[in-house]
Amino acid sequence: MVIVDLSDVPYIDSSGLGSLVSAYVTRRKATRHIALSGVNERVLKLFETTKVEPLFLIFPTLDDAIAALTTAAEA
Amino acid sequence: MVLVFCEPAERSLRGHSSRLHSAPWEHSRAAAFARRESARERSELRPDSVSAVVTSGLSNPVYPRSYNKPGDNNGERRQYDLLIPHRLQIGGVGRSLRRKPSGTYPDDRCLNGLDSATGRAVGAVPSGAYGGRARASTLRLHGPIRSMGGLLAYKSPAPYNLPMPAEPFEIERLSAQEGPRVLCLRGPLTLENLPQFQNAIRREENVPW
Repeated sequence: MVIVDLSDVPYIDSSGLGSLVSAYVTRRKATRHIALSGVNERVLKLFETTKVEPLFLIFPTLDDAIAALTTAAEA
Repeated sequence: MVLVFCEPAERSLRGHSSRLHSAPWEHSRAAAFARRESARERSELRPDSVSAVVTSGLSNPVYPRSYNKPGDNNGERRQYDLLIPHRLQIGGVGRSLRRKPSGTYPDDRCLNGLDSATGRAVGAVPSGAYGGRARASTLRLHGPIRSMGGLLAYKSPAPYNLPMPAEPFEIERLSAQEGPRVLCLRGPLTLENLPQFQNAIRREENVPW
């Protein structure tokens, strides 16, 4: 599992969005996942508009993501 | 909103119109038609658009020319000033209000305006007074137009394709021996720093867990 922390990412353009989706596809083929944390409203709006929001596990903060994924791994 | 513009030689602005009287033309059919068109155009104005007609550029001291006045049976050529109506508009294709004069006439009389409400440029569609074949030429300008001393001057538009300012982009890898790996991104994820992000993702893919 890889967590990409976007807390300090103010915006993402189309190519950045494409790279995120590409990373998701690549990891999905390897039965792995990618999680995002700290997504601000602007980026979240981009995800919603482009309908890619369901592809990622999105957590409000990095701590939440680590805690959730660690718990899931232990379970 | 009615914008009426005139050339430097026609500075006599009165209200919304510029008018230099030319007695032979004042009562001509061409002038009457132009006035009707002007009134009709003004009645169709909308706040979100600019459509203005200059129907009273009667004098042209810079380029005086001789034309046969319609209705002159004797064919005598007289010295008349041209009636130059301009139709200013935003968008669309301008149509000629009048017919282009049979003689050559400097098209550089095209004047241009700006919708003060929207800031968009308007183009001028010059057309001549009468005679000749119907023809209109449309001049489109894209950019602001400033008023300079009662006249309107075209200002070259600023380049629209300036490069985006480069912002720093950093990727910090936070990972422990166990648990999920974390990539902290700092800066906008754009095309410029895409390879950096892709390399970081590929490095994580090579990790067996």
